[in-house]
Amino acid sequence: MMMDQTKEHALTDIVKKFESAFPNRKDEDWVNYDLDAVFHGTYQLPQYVEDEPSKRDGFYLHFKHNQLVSYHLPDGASLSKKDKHVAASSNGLIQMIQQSAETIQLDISNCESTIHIIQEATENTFACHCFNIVAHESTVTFNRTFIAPKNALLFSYCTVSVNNQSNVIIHDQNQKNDGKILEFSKAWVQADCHFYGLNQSFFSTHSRFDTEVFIEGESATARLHGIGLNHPKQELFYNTHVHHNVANTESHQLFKSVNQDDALFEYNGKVSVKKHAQNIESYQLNQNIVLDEVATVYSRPQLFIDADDVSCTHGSTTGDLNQEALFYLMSRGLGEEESKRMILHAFILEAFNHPQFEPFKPTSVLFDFDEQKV
Amino acid sequence: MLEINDLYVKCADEDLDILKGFSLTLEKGKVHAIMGPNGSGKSTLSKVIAGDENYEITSGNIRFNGEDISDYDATKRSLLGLFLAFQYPVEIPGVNNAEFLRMAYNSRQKHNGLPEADPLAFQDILLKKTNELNIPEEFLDRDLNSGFSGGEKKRNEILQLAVLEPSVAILDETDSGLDIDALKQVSEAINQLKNENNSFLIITHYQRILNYIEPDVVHIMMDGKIVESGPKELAIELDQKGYDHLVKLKS
Ligand SMILES: Nc1ncnc2c1ncn2[C@@H]1O[C@H](COP(=O)(O)OP(=O)(O)O)[C@@H](O)[C@H]1O
Ligand SMILES: [Mg+2]
Repeated sequence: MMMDQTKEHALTDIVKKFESAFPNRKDEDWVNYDLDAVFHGTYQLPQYVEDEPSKRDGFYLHFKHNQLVSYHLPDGASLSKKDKHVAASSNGLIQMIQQSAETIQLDISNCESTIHIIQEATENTFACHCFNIVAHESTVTFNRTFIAPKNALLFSYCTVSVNNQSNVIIHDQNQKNDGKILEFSKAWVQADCHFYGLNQSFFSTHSRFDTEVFIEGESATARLHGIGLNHPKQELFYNTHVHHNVANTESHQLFKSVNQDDALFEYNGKVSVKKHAQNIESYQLNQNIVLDEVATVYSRPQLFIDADDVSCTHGSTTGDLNQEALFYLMSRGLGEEESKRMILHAFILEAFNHPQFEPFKPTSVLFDFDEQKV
Repeated sequence: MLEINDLYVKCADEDLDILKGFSLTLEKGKVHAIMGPNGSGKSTLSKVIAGDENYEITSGNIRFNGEDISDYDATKRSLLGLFLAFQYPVEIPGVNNAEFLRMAYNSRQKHNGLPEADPLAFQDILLKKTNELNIPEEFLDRDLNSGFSGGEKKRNEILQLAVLEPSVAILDETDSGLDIDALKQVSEAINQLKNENNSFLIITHYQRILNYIEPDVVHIMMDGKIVESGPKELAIELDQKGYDHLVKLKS
């Protein structure tokens, strides 16, 4: 494909407009993330395409290039579009996404359903997707698949508002993407509502997921799990921030990673508890396995607490495969490779240890580590 | 059957010797007991026999049926018929107990040129064993040792022993943490498994278990080697007089 010079120029122009509000390496969450390198590539800007006819089963939204190209929604879900705009945000990257793509608003009420969201960028292009989900009295699972092939740059901004006894589950699958993905999600969880986020990032080249959750009503909960597997040289960043803004709320975070040679994994997890938010339970755990000594892991679970009746635990471990467990399994006659695979598999599957996540358990994840020496 | 010759062992990343000239011959059909104070090297010995690579043999060797196994990895030793019931079994959440047992069983079957068991067939084998051992069936559905109490872990080790039917079994303080009923059950199970073709090495602090499983020989281990061996009465004497008495006697 020929590179369109004018379009390249346009990306530089877009970047310039928001650059002053971009995060930079002085910001602790961005120290290890090379934003310049992300913009460094030459990308085409996608052309507007006519809506594509539906080719899928089930309910879905398909984002491609900078637009929603097709969708099929269940009863109780309605869709509207907002023009490109820039809403107030201190984050220039989010502003840029809003300016580049139409914003899709998805209102869901009295609905129990599973909706597939496909977020696709094509080779050598820069794509932005922007959507808001508003749920009332609903239980909805969003199975989200990211597609970012070689030299694609996929930016995404999504907001979720969970109201009136709703449960929203967002299950992200980021599998073997060679392109770059930068994703921002924000969720507001009202009283008696529950928000679940599960991110599976397996063997993707360069991805970053920033998730911010605001727990706004009593008896509301948030659960964020992430499991990242990195082949050599792959980079994965998870940034989370859960705000307990009211009393009697609960949050759980479990992020795990397995890293090979020269891979980079980062978890920055924050929990903030407002002054009058008493009786809070918050758990945060990050566990990483480094298969080769040269992989890099940054782990920073942090708590900011202004209330006093708070039960919080946070922790982080990074190490090689549990040698004691390996010896134990081998001493029962299991082969070394088989034992290692069992331990890794068990480690990975812990990320799915919750009834809401159980259905997403992969059956044979690892097997992609097979080609290389575990 | 198992022959340990003048074994010197150090921790792989330290220079200090833990075993200092340890020798022992375990004959077919025999039960040997090792008693010794904390820190005398009993667990190190058992792990070294099982093939723990955290330890390094600096001199001496371990022979199994005449074959020098000192350089074999843990898998190979197990497949040859060695079994260690760990003093502190590892918890491995995410690995199902029954599935793990089946894999271990099949690994051995395969090695011995015998047919492997499918999950259903293996279920029968397992249920028979759990019944014999009086182990609750729900043990099987749980994750490997995960959240097990100390006593439950020990019983799970014996279940593995019963499933794998090794020719040499080392029991590292299996009796510690078992209540009296569990101790009886475990001892009975071991007595049932015992025959003229296998041997047991029982490491213990207490003479109590030796009331149920009669040892042919009792060894006293101190500071990395055996300092005295004798008939089962030695255990009773030790139980009454303590190690201190023995130390004084020696010096
Ligand atoms: N992996 C290890 N690293 C350092 N020291 C060890 C290690 N394993 C055993 N030791 C030391 O070796 C000695 C013997 O330990 P152990 O074999 O556990 O004794 P026992 O089982 O008889 O109580 C102790 O002093 C212990 O601290
Ligand atoms: Mg010990």
